[in-house]
Amino acid sequence: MLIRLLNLLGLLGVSLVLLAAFYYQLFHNELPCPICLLQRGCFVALGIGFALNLSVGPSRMHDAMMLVSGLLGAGMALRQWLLHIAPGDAGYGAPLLGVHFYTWAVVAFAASILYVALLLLVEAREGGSSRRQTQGAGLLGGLALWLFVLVVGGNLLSTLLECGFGACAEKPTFYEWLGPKAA
Amino acid sequence: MALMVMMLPFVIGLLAALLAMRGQRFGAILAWAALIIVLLAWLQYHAGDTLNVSL
Repeated sequence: MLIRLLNLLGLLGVSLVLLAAFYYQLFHNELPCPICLLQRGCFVALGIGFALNLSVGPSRMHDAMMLVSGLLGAGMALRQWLLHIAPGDAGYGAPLLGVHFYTWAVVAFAASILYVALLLLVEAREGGSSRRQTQGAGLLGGLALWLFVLVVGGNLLSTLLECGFGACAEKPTFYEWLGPKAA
Repeated sequence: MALMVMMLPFVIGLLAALLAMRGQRFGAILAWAALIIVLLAWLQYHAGDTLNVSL
């Protein structure tokens, strides 16, 4: 029961992070750069582990997938952080509470790794992490799974609008498919 | 790299999320692995240059 709740909260947390990024993209015109989009991709990869834990039951394999995704995302966010650490560099995008989004991403990915460690501890305590649940994800789990799928689909659509079928600009200022006036 | 499609990770991610939601574990894990490989390749494309820092 606790494992299920933790996975549900984890998946909702990932969706919330992606929704927050979407909010700033749509309402504050903070268009994501290519490395920002890759970090969103790592959040999606992280969410897939939580989604699998919810739909087919907890497994160390799913937890390992989340750890790999979290480490890769933290590495990407740190790489972007190092890009802007030089004196006189104002950083990319507007800060949120005085901290840039890629720095928040480092914090979020580090928190996700700690969260998965907690999940592993609870799974070990409750016994048999490789045990499969026989029932489905449940109503709340199903809703969380749908929300996650919708958020990933939204990211696909917005990336298509922003970059088309090719590479993105390093510092995008408008949606390629909508033209300069739409941004 | 000649082929660079920025939306590809989200196409694979959406496929993996749908497979996970339907309980198709093996397919979701395969798609997740493909997603990680594409993310790494795209990272090499966008962040493979030398950093302007002295550590």
